[in-house]
Amino acid sequence: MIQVRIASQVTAQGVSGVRWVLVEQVDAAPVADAVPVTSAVAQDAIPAADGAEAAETTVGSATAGAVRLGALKLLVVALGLAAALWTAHVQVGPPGADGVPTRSQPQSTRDPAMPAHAVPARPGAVPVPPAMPHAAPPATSPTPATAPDAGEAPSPAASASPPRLTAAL
Amino acid sequence: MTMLQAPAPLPWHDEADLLGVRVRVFFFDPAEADAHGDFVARQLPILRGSGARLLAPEGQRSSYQAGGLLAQPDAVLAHGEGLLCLAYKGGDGRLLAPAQWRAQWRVDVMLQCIANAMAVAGQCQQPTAALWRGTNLLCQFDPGVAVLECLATHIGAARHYWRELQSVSPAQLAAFCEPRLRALPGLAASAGSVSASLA
Repeated sequence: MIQVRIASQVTAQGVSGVRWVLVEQVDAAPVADAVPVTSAVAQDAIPAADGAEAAETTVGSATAGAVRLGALKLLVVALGLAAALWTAHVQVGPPGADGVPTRSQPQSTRDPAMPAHAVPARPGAVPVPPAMPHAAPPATSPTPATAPDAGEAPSPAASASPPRLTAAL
Repeated sequence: MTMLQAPAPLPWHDEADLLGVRVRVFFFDPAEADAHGDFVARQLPILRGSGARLLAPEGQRSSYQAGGLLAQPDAVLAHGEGLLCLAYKGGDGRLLAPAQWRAQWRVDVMLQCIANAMAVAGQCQQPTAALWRGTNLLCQFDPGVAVLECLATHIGAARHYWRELQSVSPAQLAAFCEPRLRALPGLAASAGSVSASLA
């Protein structure tokens, strides 16, 4: 370390009020493998604060920065997409669970023996059979069969085994 | 028994704290000062008649190095038990008004002068004062601890930043350290006052 003494006062007789600080020695080893770029900056032509900050960004590799930024963008988009899919899966259910044919599983290729609502939308939910026109109660029925105040409880067998779609087909 | 008397201070016209540096200024008539043949009377009007003397012939710039800092100040003078490191070729040549010199202040020039003085002091191992002579004023810089530490501890980083193999110039070191000094919380007030007066 080199001791540096800066005078804080100047008088007619000399200097006084010394402040001192230690200056680090030259360590040329770390920059030996650096690119030997000769600085063309003159002593009085150095840009100040803003110029230094702007130049600092150009010293690094611009290509690596662009690639890093692109990868970061892709990561953010993928995370958002995954979050959206997970939210839809939790709240709505898997694709095709509502009877609407999905693009990956069209109606023509679906197994006819598999009812549309074979999988409950939520864990623990009772599967709801699809509406069948011929099985619907008549419109003139005074009380619907599923009304809670009908007075007669549905039979366990009827509630346990939903009607098979293959029978109608 | 004799008592040591403190030396009489020089008749500075104004002083202020700017970015952690105590700046003392002396205004003079440039036409009158430039008419002098003596170097000290011409470049250091406040020290006219003192014993300051140039270490090298006028116009000859010697190199001074302290660690990784290499400087070529405009002039170095011996003054008493110390040195005077003077810069007078920088700046933009404007006349600074005594009432508004703070608003027209250039921090980069100030930091360059201090870095010049650090290199001279480090090589000569003598206390050195940093001075800058403008068109119509002479300044003496008294840097605070934060400024000295910032300049002294960032020489290696500035050398890496500017991709210099051996050393950095005072201008490079000043440009590297100025934004860091402005970011220091203790110096933000003085830096803010300069910016406000500029606005």
